Amino acid sequence: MIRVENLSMRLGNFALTDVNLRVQRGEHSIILGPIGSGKTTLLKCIAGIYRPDSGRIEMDGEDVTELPPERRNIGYVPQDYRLFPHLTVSENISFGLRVRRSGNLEDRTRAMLDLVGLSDLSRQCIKCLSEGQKQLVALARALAIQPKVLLLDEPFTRLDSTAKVRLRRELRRIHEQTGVTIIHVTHDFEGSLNSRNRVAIMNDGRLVQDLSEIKKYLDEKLGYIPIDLRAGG
Amino acid sequence: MRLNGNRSFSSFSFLALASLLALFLFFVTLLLSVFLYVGPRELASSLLSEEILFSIRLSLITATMATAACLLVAVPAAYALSRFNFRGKGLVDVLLYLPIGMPPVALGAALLIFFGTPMGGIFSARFVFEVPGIILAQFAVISALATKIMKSTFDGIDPEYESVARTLGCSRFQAFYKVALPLAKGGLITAVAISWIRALGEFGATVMLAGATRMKTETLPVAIFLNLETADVVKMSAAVLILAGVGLTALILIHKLGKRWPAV
Repeated sequence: MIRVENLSMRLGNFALTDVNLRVQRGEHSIILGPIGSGKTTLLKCIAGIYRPDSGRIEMDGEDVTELPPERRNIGYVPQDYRLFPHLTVSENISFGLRVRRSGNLEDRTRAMLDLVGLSDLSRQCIKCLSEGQKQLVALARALAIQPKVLLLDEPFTRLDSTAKVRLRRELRRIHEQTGVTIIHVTHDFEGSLNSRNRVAIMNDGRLVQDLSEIKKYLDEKLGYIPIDLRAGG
Repeated sequence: MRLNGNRSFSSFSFLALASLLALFLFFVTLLLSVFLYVGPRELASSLLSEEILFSIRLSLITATMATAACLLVAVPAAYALSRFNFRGKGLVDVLLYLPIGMPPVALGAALLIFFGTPMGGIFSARFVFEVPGIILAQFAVISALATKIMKSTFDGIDPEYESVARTLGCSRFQAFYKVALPLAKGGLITAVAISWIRALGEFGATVMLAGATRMKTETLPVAIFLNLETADVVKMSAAVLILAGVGLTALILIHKLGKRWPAV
């Protein structure tokens, strides 16, 4: 389980304020919020890239707040994927395994290529891939190290509408197949509210998880409350 | 005549192209004048003379050692300037680039003065008027330049690459050498080539610190100076041509490699 308690951080003029979040093992949680609301900052705190000013982050009961990113066992997929352009597809996927000197490097890389359906492209260079393929390679690279949690920062932003639908389906399948815990941040209200995942709202550096507050926020933001939420689910 | 993205041939286009042609002809004339002054046979014998061969060897060795030492310091220093925020960073930034705006002869004078102080005096016998002095003088001149090139290169690489590498298990150092450094390959090659050419042609700081002693601290630029003093135009021309040839080769290499490793 991932537990974030009273997390606060100031970054220039912006501040994350007293954020509390609980994500159960195997859950796919979505944090929804407008651009600049603090979603990426929260993800980077969980990943260990930013150190919060106060608060606590726990993973499976262990306090990881002071741990550097390399000791948290987290899969992180940034918005622009940041695939390493000097490496091929399979070298990108096996990067974390090589750093960790994993014994089953080749088998694990092949399994990840199969999982995302890119076995034919294993020797391709990164710039030869489409945006959708890059997203899948980034997912495979993050999943290869068998992370405790997968952090996805706006994973569909750079995709066209057809690719978005396909990738959403792929992500659902990968989640079902691996059972990995996912925290996924996005500003795509429409796409996310139609999914079956747990949703929290990030607004101006604060996280809103209370259902009535979420409904109120969405009513103000979208002008309507999605059917699933109207029923109280 | 075809012009990129512009079909009309304006008077400004004419002026721009005329300036380009004038500049090109200016440098070609400079180089050709050396050939006009000295015949190929005289030039060949000078190139093989003991003094010029000594200068070539000394120049190649000192420039290579100075470049290697400079990169060992400049690459991590540039990375620190690009990636870390600390108090007084602006001041460090300006001071590090001071040698770029300072005449080499002044830098050499500062080095000489340093070796006259009680602290510098401990090492003065090893550096002043000695070959290690040449390497130190070249290092002083090129280190700021290499740091500047490498800092611009690291600034152009999104730190998010290293953040991802760290979540995948890299320590800060591993993220640097497994990700940032390979991505900076293009800039690194440029820094090596430009620093090396600059070190090879270094004169002002070298003469101040290591002096101009024939067959001892006689690098190629020093050879030009010494042969000018004794009015040996043939040997002087040979040294000029070698420096021009090496410089041109290195620049062509940068151009070719720059195409192979474009910026990220």
